[in-house]
Amino acid sequence: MRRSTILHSFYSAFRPLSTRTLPANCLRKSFSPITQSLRAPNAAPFSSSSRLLARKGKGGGQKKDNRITQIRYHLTHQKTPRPLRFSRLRALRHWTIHRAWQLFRAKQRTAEQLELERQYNSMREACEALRLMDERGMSGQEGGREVGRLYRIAMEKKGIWDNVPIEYARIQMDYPSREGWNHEWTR
Amino acid sequence: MALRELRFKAGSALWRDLRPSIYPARPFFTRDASTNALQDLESSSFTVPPPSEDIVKSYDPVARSKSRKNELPPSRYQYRSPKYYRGPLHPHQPPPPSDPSSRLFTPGPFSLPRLEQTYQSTIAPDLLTLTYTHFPPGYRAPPKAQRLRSWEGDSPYFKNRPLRGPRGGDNLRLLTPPKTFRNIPKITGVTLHSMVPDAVDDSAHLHVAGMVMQAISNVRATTHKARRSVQQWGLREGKYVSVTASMKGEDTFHFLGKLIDVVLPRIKEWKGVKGTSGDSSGNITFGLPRDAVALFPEVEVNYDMYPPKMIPGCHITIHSSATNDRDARLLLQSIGIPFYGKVVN
Amino acid sequence: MNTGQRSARQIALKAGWPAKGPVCFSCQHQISRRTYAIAAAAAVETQTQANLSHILPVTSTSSQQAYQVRAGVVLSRPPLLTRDLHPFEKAFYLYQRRLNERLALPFTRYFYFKKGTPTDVEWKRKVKARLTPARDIGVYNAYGDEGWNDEVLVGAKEAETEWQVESLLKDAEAPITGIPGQESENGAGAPNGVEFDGEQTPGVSSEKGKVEAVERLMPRVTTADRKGDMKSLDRLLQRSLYLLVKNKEGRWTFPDDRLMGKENLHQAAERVLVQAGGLNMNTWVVGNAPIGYYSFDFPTRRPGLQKNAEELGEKVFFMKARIMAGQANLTENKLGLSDFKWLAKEEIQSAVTPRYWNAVRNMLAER
Repeated sequence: MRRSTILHSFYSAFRPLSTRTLPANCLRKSFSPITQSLRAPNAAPFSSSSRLLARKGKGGGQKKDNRITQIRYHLTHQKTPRPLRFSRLRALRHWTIHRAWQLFRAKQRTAEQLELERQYNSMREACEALRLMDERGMSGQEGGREVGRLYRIAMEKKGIWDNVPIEYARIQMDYPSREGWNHEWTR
Repeated sequence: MALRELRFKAGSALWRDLRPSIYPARPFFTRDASTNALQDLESSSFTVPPPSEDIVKSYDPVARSKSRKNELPPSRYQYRSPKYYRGPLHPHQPPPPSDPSSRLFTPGPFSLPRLEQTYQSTIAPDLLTLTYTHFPPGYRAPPKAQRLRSWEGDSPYFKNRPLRGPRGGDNLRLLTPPKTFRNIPKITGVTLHSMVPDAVDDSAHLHVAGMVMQAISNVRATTHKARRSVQQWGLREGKYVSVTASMKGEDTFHFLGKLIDVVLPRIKEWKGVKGTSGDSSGNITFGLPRDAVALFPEVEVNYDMYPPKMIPGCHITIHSSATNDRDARLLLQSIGIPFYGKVVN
Repeated sequence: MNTGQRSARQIALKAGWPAKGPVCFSCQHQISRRTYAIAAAAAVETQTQANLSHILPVTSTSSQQAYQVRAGVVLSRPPLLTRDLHPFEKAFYLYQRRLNERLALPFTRYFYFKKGTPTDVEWKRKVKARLTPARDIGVYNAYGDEGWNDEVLVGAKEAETEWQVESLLKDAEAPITGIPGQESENGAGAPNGVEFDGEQTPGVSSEKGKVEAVERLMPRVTTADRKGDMKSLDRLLQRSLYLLVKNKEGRWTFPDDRLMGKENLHQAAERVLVQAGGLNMNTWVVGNAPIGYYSFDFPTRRPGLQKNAEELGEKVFFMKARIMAGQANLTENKLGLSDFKWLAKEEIQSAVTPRYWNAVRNMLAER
């Protein structure tokens, strides 16, 4: 059951920077990321031992952790994201896809909202019937002594808050577990 | 190309039934005469039949662009979004952020998170059932009293003064509207916050903290300066001391899914979130120690690339659209975050 | 609410609506007394009072009429799996991922793989084949000369979820021919002694440097689906399943029972669950309010529980309940049930009577 979570988590692990808050100060060049990533870290000081030794002798400062250098390099990569440049037809295609997606989502949201409304209306009808019902099940006028007793109890919110069982909270998975449903659960 | 694929696969379905295929086929909206008339008037590209199989097979955009003798005129590609905003009167205006040529463009959702689907299908209807309040026909809400106070007294300066704030503070608290199917509380975002006082002396702490936050949240972390010097805490004014990452939308649900399914169950003797937590407007905060932060799969996958002593603990604020803590707590419980101890609303 | 009730009643009284059905004595008494107390529009009210008093002796002398008040339980198993994506959603997500690949910073390899280690070598081999660090978007190089060509052609398999999962598994599967020291180092470095074990990255769990096949994921369509086993809770994992039982009359309904004494709906629902399905279900009755309502008039009146009472029909109020574990067992049920099924929404329609379906359909979730 946990595997799918892990798979999902890798998406973001390997999509390191999706937000583009940095300004684009260099444009796309025509070398591949492999050569780039091979070349750039090697130019960093951690591969040249002589320089490190020299610095150590001079300032007496402790040796920098290589991992921190890596992290700093990762955070401030030279190749900051650049804006996309589309041809006309491609831009039009993108616009169409974008509009279609908006339409699709709007319809989905409407459907979700309508479903909730349906359930809400069903509840409202049931509660209204309960409100006007007396102890013998006849729908009398309200105000009687026994009219709406069940309704009043049903509207109480005692024991509602802070009472959700932890087993209930079970997030959906992408693939079923090997054990399947626990049919043999006993109290 | 994506557009064509879209046209074949989804095009016809877009107009008829947009729900996933597991639902029984049923017309989505009832059609009336005007819809049909509109369709008769407008010829849609969706009605065009798809290209034949061999055209699709032989289509190779890269080869086509390579076989082109003359380069396309470069002027077509020259549009650049300005690097910074020069004011409304400048002729070079940036495009809206939804435009892909904008520098602020961010690609849209990449997946449909599990937690979002769970909320949609299970949690929202159950919250509706739990918190249902009945309004009989003819019910009208009693009028609310004025929340701001008027200035009482005989001072002549009280005349025409704006109203006073409520007792005990100038902020009006959020009003809780009557519960209907339209305002079921939902999760709107998560903010991670990590205070790194050691960063005053060594910026490496800040960088590692930022890297960790960025890795587990999938958004760029922002840094914050200390606003004033505090001797006891080792704070100096103007020094960068903390990192935040605030998620919205899809990232939120992925983060919470990982947190609830992977991280929280593995923390030793974790009791839950304190019942007194919350800012009384539906946002609930709790903390994770540094060894719990290291349990996130993104940190774990290359754990030895982080200096273990520098991995920070963090505060997690879960923002919800609930207007009070009680509703927010109910929502968080139903997604699997337990609470303990005395509860405060 | 109080004001609302009162106002509604006043409206009803002033409009001179006839009381629906026979009104019990106490109600009528109450109504008349309160209307006097209000003392507005006195003439009209005296008239209604006269009418009511005219009806009174009739109801009191005849046998008492009643409805059976029953509490039903809509016990459901929520969906356990995410839903199948629409083809447009799949295509859109792939499109956005590839756009993101064009916009993201390049992958910093040495932050994730130590230089010279077997995992690093392995990674180099893989990235050569697919040209991109992302493992589930197909062969595409966002930083190369053909970076503009990020759209996939018609009928491409990259958008399919199965293909993406398969490629992720294949990525995890590749052989590790190197030193086992890497693994031990990993384990020592991990916090709390929690190892980054085989369950999470199945490919890495090679203790002897051998290739181990990755565990395949379980199929989303289970054996219960294929067999059409209506009693299994493993069926239709993407949908909500509802418990239906076959009652004494041989009709399929949600389990329900008459309210006993002074119990309320929530208590009755919990009792019905135990009496119908046995103790071995971990259930949670959601809230105190009913989610649906079904009323049915008997063709002939039946004698009621008390003497001198006859029942006109039944009114069933449904409570919502969720099952978290366990299975229904009807062997010791006290409600005279003979069979049970777990059905999705549209399957319920064909199992129950049309009248019941109309009353029940709105409270069931679509998914």
